[in-house]
Amino acid sequence: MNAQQREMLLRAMLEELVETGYGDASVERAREAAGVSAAEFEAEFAGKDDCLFAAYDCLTERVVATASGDCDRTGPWPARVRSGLEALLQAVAAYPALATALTRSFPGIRPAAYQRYVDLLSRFEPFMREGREYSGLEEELPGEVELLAVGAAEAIIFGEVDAGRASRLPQMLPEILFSVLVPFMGPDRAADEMRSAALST
Amino acid sequence: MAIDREALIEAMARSCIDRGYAETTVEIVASTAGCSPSDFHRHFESLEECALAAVDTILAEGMGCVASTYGADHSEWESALRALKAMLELFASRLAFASLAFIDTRQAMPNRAHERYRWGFAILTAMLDRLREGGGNPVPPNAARAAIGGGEALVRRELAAGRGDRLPRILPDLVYSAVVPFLGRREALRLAREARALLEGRPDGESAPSS
Repeated sequence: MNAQQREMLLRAMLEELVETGYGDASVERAREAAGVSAAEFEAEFAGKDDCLFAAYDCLTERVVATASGDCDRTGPWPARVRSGLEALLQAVAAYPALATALTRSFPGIRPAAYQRYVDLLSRFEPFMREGREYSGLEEELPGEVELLAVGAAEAIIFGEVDAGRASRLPQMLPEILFSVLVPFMGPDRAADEMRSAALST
Repeated sequence: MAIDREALIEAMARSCIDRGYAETTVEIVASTAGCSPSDFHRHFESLEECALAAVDTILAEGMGCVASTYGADHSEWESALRALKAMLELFASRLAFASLAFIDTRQAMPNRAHERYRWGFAILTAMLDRLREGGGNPVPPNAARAAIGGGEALVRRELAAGRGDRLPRILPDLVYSAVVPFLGRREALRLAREARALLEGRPDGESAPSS
């Protein structure tokens, strides 16, 4: 199978998972949607699980790249967090089915799949680490402050995706930004950043 | 042989932590509890009914913890801190149930169990929202939801990593997360230190402000 077919197959597999649940997710239907033969599938994947895990890994790479692409630009740390978060929220809103696969359908398969989700969240922690220096409090902040900030954003994103309201996430950028920044900057400065984001959202 | 309903509920929670809800079957639960599928069905109509009973068990125990820590002799923040400590101790002693409550109901279970997760989350958020009235800082509507979410991510990571027995140790971080949007960093750090003192059994933790 070529690269485009592979990408279509992985995406179709995740959509199968969301639409029918793990037990009924069909490799055959996903193959047909991508125009991939059984022999081509078997040459690349050991089975349904292998394909699903590959699809999830591919999706999480994209998610991290989407957020970090903007987060890595130059500028003050809060502005870079805002850019990364904005790109992430727009991507989630644009692909609600993939967002459901990302946050709920795949992690719910079994503990090994759930671990992939935990790993995904931990990949955002390095972007938060700079906030510790930026805070001026560094060592005084809790040891897990980076995960607390990531988890704050995740809770809102998960809740909106779960409730079928992924489309409104981009307009929630200011308040999600507040909750990501507040453990590092405190409520006054985080509220300043929130207001600034609201003016340009 | 009389089959204990509680044993089936325990077996349900055990299976979820070992293999997840999606791969748990009536046969597995019955066999773990030492009975047959027909014995299982004397107590529960379906796997989902048994899972709901397990979720309700830990929710009721969690609410019991909260209720027992509130008292007129503590401020609201102090009561909340003690409630959080009691809940972490409960989860550390009931690992399979904690995993069920934090991971399976959230990500894996069907609608009725998933609703229980939403209720539990909404109750904790409402408790924190009540406390925010003492803060006075202008914070957005979802601040409590996000603050609870930050702490929950930490709890879930510890459970997934097999470190659930050490959950009480994260109390200071959870307290910081819950307090900082409303009372600011200085007060959040002070209450986190108080949480640490409480964990270490030191009586010298400073008193929390009244709300």
